[in-house]
Amino acid sequence: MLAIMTHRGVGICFKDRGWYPRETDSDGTGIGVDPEEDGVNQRGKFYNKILANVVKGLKVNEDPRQQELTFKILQACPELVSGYALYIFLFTSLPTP
Amino acid sequence: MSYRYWSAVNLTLEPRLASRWIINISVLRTIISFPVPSDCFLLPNSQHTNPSPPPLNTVLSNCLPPVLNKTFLTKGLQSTSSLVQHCTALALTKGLSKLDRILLIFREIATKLEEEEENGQWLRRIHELEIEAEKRVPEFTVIVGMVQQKATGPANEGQTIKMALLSEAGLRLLWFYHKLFPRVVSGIKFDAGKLLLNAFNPSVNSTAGEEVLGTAEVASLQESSTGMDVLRQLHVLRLLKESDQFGWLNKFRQHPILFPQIKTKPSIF
Repeated sequence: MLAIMTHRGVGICFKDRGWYPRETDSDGTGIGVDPEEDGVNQRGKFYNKILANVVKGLKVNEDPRQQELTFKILQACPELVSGYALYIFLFTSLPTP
Repeated sequence: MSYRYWSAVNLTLEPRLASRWIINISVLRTIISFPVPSDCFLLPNSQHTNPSPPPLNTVLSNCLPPVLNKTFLTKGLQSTSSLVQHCTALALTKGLSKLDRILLIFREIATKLEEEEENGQWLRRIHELEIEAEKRVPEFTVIVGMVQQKATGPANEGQTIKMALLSEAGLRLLWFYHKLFPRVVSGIKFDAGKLLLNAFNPSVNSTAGEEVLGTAEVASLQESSTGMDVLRQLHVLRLLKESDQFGWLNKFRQHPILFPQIKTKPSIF
């Protein structure tokens, strides 16, 4: 799992553009992408959609091995961090019974 | 995972003394501590810096995620549980530390690109980041209140260490506020000199402590808190370096330790 998910450009861990959204321009330089455009057109566009779903399924607060995998995936794919930071609180911070 | 979806979900997450909450905020703290991906600021397949900075929301979400908002952090820092207070303070510290690193990198890039104040995109992003971050952090008075809070229970080792940890975390936050939000700090009357006096007095006072504890116990408590005292002093000295409201000359004329130090080594202040 670590081998195919946590090394950029290997397995299902695709190279992303870090904190920049997935490029939509034709020349691939990123120039011309409006950095202000945080709106509808820029949201939800990832290079690593598979890994985005994988980290959502990992039990980060129950199993240390799953936690390690989550951290390594997020470090390899910085584009996923901003969404994930909110996710863990919204869906795993429910009161303990 | 889309930003749009998570932004639409509006749940209240009360800071509370629960194992699940403590684990989650620790995980969040670790994620915030990830290094800034500086490589992404270069143009693809090039060594040239991208003239456009990354989107504001993405940058902010990586240092102060939306969940760490003013309401959440204020409740956490004012919680009746010291553990919740400390966990919240550590998370905020990590966020501000990351913001500090990001601003440093962005300033370096702006300098490298020889940007001008009026139309520099990276400089504009720095300005926007400072303004938005100010909106997300708790009021400065909340941090001051945390630093100035007094122990409520009986004087024992656990209580002493607890107060030393909270005080250290609070002073570190005060330093970050002075460094990152000077406008917020300057708007509030705050005597930074008092902090200096308190920081150079040990957190365990032997004369007061001896009334309820033996001399040996007081010595043991002082030993336990010595490391934290050094850190507290360090934070206060860093804070004073950033502060423009601090006048030391008259305040410390009578202090037996500080005044000789200031006189002989004024450069450290």
